[in-house]
Amino acid sequence: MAKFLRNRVWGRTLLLALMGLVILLLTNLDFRERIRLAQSGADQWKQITLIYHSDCKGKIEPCG
Amino acid sequence: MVDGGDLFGRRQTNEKEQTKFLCEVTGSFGWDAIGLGEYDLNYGLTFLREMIETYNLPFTCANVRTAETKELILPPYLIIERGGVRFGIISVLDPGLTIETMSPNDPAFEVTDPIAALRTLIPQVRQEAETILLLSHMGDQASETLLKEVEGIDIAVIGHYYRKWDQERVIGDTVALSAVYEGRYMGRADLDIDSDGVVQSVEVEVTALDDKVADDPVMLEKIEQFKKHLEEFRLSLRAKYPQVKGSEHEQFLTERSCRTCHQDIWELLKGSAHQAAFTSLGKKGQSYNPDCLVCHVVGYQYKNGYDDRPPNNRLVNVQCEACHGYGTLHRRNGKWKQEAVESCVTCHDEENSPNFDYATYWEKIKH
Repeated sequence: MAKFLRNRVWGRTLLLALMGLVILLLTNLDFRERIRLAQSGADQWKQITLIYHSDCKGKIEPCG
Repeated sequence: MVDGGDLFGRRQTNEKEQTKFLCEVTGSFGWDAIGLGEYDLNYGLTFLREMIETYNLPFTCANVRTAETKELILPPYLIIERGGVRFGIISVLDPGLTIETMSPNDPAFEVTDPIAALRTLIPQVRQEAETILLLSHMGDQASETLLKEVEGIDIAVIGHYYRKWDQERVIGDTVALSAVYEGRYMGRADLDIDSDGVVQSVEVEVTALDDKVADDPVMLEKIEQFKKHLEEFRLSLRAKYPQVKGSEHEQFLTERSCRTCHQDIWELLKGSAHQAAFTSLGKKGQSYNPDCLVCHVVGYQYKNGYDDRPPNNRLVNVQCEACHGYGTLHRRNGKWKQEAVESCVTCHDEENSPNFDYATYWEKIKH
């Protein structure tokens, strides 16, 4: 094992792999945080239904 | 639930009756706000205020004032809370639109710059509301210009416009909506509004209120009852001047028929006040008023004379037969000239034409 780690090539590869794992972990945490924050924001959104119309011009029935 | 203005009808007596009915039934809908359109002043400010008070109609407008006192005629904005959101609802009217009322005692109105009015008002309304909704009675193009110029409007409902929008349009920072007109469509926008009052998403559905939408039986019954009332009202107006003169064997043939032999005279009279007599009534909202109609149409008190329903509603304006009598009679004997001279004073009387002088007036239509 010690011999394997002393191998320059394998040692660097392992180091890079560890760094990648750390980055992935941090990024994943950030995504989760973002999603959590977004979800908590959306929870605060209010759903409103707006009914709208205009220019009735005194009509009570369609002209035709 | 909001309306973008022009709820009221045209300047005609019968439409005023219809508008009263419309106010009564739409008052029961529970509108949150109604913008002011130029039609809403067609029957005068007193009538508008009477409808507002009687039927709880929440009209608002930020830029229409009386010309004399400069006071706003309506509240400039309304604050309402729905679903946990406080809305500030403001309405503006296009200054290019003409306000004419049927009421002679009304004050003159002044429509001020809507952009300036909104820039002044929005910071004030913001203190009381999270979301600002504009009822823009300015049509699509003027509304678009306004929305690009004025910041801070979250939602706009466009009035004075004749096309429905199946989807929302985003103009500047504003979600703009349009569902028009004459009760043909109703718009629904499902909005997600964040804690700052900003619209985060919107889904629009515009429904055509056609035969596929079932009529409410209670409303249908009310409309049928009102139609009976309107017919009685029409007949009561008509009864003031019954068609008792002339003969039921004679017919008014309209100027179209006269022109087959007298095209030169028709050309001569083209553009005269006589030929615009009915149009001028319409401009003053009096085209249903029997006291006026009697002199602005052909044969109002005569058998087979003008009626407000087809076929004799084509006998509008002071056409040839208004002075010369039944066309069928003229075809047979040609004895109409003296009668025509005498006919002038039936309308050009002391009350309506105090400066009437036959020789002077004849020059205007000499033929």
